[in-house]
This record gives sequence, C-alpha cells and structure tokens, in this order.
Amino acid sequence: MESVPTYAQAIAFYIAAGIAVFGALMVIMNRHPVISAVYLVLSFFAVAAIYVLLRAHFIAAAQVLVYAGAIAVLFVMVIMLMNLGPRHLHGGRVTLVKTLGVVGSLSILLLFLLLFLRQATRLVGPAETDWATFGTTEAVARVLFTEYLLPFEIASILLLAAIVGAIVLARRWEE
Amino acid sequence: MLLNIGLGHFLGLSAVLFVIGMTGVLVRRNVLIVFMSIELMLNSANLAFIAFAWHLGDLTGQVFVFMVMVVAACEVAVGLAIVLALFRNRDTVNIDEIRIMKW
Repeated sequence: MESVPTYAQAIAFYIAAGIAVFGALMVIMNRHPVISAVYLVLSFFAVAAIYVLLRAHFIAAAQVLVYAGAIAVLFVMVIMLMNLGPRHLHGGRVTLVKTLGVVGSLSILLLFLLLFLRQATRLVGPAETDWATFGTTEAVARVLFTEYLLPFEIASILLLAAIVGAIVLARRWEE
Repeated sequence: MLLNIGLGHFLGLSAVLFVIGMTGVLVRRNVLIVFMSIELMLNSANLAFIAFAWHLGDLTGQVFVFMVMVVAACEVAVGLAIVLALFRNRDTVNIDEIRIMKW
C-alpha cells in the first residue's frame, strides 16, 4: 500500500465515485437505451479517473479507449441499426421478479460490505514497490510481454474469433 | 476515516457499482440495457482488481484487468451481433418475449 493519500485525492475520489454511481443508476433507470448508453460513457469515464487515483495510468487510458470509446460506440451503432420505436420500449409493471431483484441485490451489497471488506483490507503485500513507475505503460508492458506473454497471445486469438463470430452472426444471409 | 481513503473505499464503490449492474440485469427487460448492466458489473470487477493491485503493490492485477477488457470487448461484439440477429427475426428487444430456449 502506498503512503498516506492527501485530502485532494480523497475529494477527487468522492467526486469521481459520485459521478460513477450516478451514471450507473441512470443507465438502469432510463427507458430509452440511447440515453443509457450516454450515461454508461459517463460512468466509465469516472471509473477511469479512479484508476488514475490508483496509479493505473495505462489501464485508465485503455478504459477510455475500449470501454468509453469502442464499446459505447458499438452500443450506439446497434441501437441506431435497430431503429427502436415506442412499440419496442413499452415499460414493464412492478412485478414480483423486480421486487425480488432489487431486494436480493441490496442484500448481496450488504453481504459484500459486511463480510469481505474488513477481511480484505487486512491483506499486506510486499513492501518494496517502486511507486514512481507503478502502473505506467512501460511497467505494465514489461509484465505483459514477459510473464504473461502466452495469455496475451491467446487474447489476440480470442479477439479474432470474436470478430469473425460477430460478422457471421450479424450479416444478412440471402436466401 | 472519511478523508483517509484506503482499500475499503474502493472496494465499497466496486460493490455498489456491481450491485447496480446486477439490479439492472434482474429488473430491466430491455436486452440492450441488460447488456449495459453486464458491462457495469465487469467494470466494477475491474475496479476491485485495480484496487487490490494498488493495495498489494503488484502489477498482476492490472494485467488481469487488461485481459478482462479483451473478454468484455469480445463479449459485447458477439452479444450485440446476437441481439441484432434476434431483433431482425423476432422484432423485439424484450427478453420476456424471447423465450424459445426456455422450457
């Protein structure tokens, strides 16, 4: 763990956390998926800010590029292709499933907070960490291309399979 | 306590974001918003990884987040292709109306 964070970092954390939670809530509360997609981008950006606080600079940049960029654009493109009308967006009633869903989610949140947080914060890592270079592109790349080279290459094959699969699934087959 | 942020704060935020995503999956019937909620849940798991990487001073967590992002990108590409194909065939985005695989 790093040395004591400053108050400015604490304030930045609370602002970013508030924006992230607000964005996430608006994602699940909006009726139209386009508005949800825009709030999804907001939430992803706020989480990227928290990554910077946690000294994960490379991952923060990747978060903005992959999540806030590529994934959000993909969502908006698909919504645009679907051309949803009011017919498709009729809201549901409050059913037993919905009530149980909310209640169950909240109880699992309580479980997370009560059971795991206290035990997790007692973990201690190795003391010697170079905080000046922690999480920079160079440091992450060094680990990625030495220790985790095989998973990295497998990820490229997974991406290729996803590209081919998406094209095959989404194209219109002529009869 | 409030101004001295530590691992617990980040894990708490991660848990809150995860539960918001889970609520979205359970409550919403629009398949696109269910997908976005799944992305929120993956993202909150990433936040937990990054928080532990920071807490333990170990870059392995950040490499793992990179892999999770790859899987999330694949999942969105293939999943949205499936949604698009379903929408072309059934003309609906309500997952209650798509129940061919439900017995």
